[in-house]
Amino acid sequence: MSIYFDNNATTKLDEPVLDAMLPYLRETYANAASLHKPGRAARAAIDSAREQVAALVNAHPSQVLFTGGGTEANNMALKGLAARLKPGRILVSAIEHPAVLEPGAALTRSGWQVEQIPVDAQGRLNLQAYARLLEKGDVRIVACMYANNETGVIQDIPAISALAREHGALMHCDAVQAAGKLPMHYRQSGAHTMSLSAHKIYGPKGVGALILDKGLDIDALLHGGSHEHGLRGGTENTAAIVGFGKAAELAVQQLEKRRAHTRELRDHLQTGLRAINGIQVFATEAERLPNTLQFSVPGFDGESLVMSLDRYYIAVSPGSACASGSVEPSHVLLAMGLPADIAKGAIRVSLGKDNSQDEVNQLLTVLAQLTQGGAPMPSINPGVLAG
Amino acid sequence: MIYSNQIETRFRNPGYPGAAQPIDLTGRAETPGSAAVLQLYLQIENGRVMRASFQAFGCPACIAAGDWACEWLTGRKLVQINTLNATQIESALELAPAKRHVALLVEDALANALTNTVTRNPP
Amino acid sequence: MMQAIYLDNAATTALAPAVLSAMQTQLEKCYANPASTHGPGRNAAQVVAQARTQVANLIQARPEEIVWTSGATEANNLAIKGVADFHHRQQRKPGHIITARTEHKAVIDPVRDLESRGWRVTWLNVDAGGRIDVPALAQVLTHDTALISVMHVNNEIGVIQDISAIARLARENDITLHVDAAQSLGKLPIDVDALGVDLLSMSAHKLHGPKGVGALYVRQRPKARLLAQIQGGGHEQGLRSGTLAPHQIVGFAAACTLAGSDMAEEQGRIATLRNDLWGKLKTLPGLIRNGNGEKTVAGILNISVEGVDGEALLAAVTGGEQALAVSSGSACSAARAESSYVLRALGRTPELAGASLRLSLGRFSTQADVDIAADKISWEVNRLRALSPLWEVSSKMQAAS
Repeated sequence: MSIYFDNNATTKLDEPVLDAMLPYLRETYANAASLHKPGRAARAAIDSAREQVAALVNAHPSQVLFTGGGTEANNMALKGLAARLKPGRILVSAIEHPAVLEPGAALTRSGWQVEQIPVDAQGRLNLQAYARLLEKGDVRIVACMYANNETGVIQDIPAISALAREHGALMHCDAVQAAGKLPMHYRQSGAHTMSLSAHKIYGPKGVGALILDKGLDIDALLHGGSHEHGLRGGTENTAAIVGFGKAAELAVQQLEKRRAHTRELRDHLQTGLRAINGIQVFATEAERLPNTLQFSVPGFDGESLVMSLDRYYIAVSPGSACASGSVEPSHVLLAMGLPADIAKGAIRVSLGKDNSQDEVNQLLTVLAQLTQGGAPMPSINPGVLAG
Repeated sequence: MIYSNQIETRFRNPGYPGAAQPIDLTGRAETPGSAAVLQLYLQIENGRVMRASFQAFGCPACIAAGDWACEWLTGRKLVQINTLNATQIESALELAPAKRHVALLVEDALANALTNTVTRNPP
Repeated sequence: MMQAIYLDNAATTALAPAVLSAMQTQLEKCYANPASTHGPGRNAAQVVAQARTQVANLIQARPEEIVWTSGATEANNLAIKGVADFHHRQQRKPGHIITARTEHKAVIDPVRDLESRGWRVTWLNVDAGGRIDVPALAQVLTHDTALISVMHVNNEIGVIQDISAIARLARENDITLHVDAAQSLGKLPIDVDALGVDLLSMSAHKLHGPKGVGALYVRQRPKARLLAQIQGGGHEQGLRSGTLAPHQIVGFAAACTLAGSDMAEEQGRIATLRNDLWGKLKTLPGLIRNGNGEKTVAGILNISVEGVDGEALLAAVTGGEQALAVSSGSACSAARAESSYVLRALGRTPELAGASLRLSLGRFSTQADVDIAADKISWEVNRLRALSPLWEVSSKMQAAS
């Protein structure tokens, strides 16, 4: 059985979530837009899921718009807001997920100027630099993630939103990693839009949400029909939405338990890593998600370390896992001012509610062996060895 | 489409359908464009409605309103009849705001009936 | 739970047991992100690759020509706006698009969005049977026509368009052809090369697969050129980012394989049921069948009923004893009770367009469903007409004339 330490990439579907989904895969399959009885039953299930997801971030159910996932929610926020504004400047933090950086970049095609807000060496947004960028004027949209997927560093979203609002800018917050791991409050965050994903909180893949005020002037990303108040076309994925609702409900109920458990494991891991020669843990001085720890091992690049650990059936991620196993150095660590060879060597351990201390100890044992040359692995980047 | 119990029951199984003979008074009302049409038929004995019935073309709320009106009318004195108003019908049927016109339709049909005497055919 | 007689398979379908079991295995056992490089991630990627081949096989395409989406709506948005954005970037100005008035909202709405961004749009009319007049289409081509978007099978009336003829025109004029095949996938044999399409939208939940997943076929040779609409990580060859949902994808693939395995028999069986249903219903006076009866997919029957109110008709047949699950007009616009724009495009009055029922059959439809539906509809239509102060008069007038 493998040890799964990649819970920021995706999580295992929780059993009660699957149980909640099954009736909507089996019997209540009707189209929720249909007016007949089975259609109304599907609609009712979506309505309760909307309440459950709203509760995850202390929002009102009317503020929840279901999407096909976090990436779609981020795309909709940036492009949908931009579509209703005169092109101007967009500020995005330098450590955003590609799901924010890339739609941001796409907006340059329609006349927008996209600039990155730097972070400090601990991965926290540089508030002075941010303020200076705002003061130059014409900033229409600011995007900053609640917590980073690689380092786990938590940003001061209320402060960042407040500054954006002072300068008349709309604020988007990618909260995909933070939801379910921290107590969240949509209104208090000050964000105008906030994206969420189900599969990061033990829910199903293929469903997410954008939290937004009903009155917000925003364009649809997927046009087609009057679903979700005309803001998101497409037949609702009832089973997945119900699963998202259940996962959100459990995340709220078990928030403290999950936080305490993963934090204990994370701290145990961090203490253990200190005993291994040369391991560098990132962003330790910043406030981080309780479950996330990113570090580099000298003599290894991230990709080969992932492959080595894989032979011991331990699943971790090299920086951020995205479309392809890219060996680009982590843009997050580069933004924190780390040299490229260190950034390339980073791996991320992201713990979940089902991980155990025993599993963490196994990882520590294997890492100790690997660094002592007990299981030599060739580096795929000779530059790292040379350095 | 979700209807109140009153509408659901009366639409599915109206108690006063048709044009029950004999007819002493009848009145018809239509919404603009004839999207809904309601006709009431009343049999009068000694200044009282002995029997009421209706015909309707329209949505379920329209049919239910015709039926409810007939029930309300049955047994009432003619002099009491013009106390029936749209608000009463709205609350009795729990009409959605978009369906208020059916209550007005009943008011109009009744008003027309009170001025439209039918000569009974000799038996 | 679902007590109604389900005749709304054009809106969505029940999962086939084989589909559900394929999905359940993934949901329970395989949860890694297919983009992850570790073992569990590679296993998930393998599952996705196998599914890609299965879906490609149903339309005679190559696996690398399949781009996963969250459904046909997203596939349509990607095709239409993606081609338009590419054209706009190349030509530095908007161009011209041709589509039909009877398309699904998932095509109409993205095209309208482009219209609001400066694109010129030709909205083709259809004949009384719902078909596009191909010579008329040839007349409206212009030098900057970037895209023709036409549905294979209409979701309301089931009419089949002559895609090959339209494709020949598109090919001759070097115009990209997009086809929304949400209603035809698994019901008509599709060979993307024989049809000559460049882009083809697919949906899983219309053929007994799961909701929330679909795909866009993107021709490789000659390469259809389009820009991504959802960016962020470069998944799906950069055309559509976002973590893939293997359980959905596997369900879609299982549904495609199932549909491909018995398409001819199954569609034949469904056509027989549909014809029987129409045979029973047409004994009622004042019933009109909408759409070209001959060029129609097996599972759809659309009727307009004279002398009844549309809302009352739908409420009557979808409620009470032996309630039917059927649609009136298009399910997707049903949340707003407006009369069907598709039926009005065929020349129906707003009243007749409103007083219409779409009965759509699927793999699990039975003769008993058809018998019950025919009885229920006949009974309710007669009841409502008997209650109407107008019907007696108009039927007498008809009898007299």
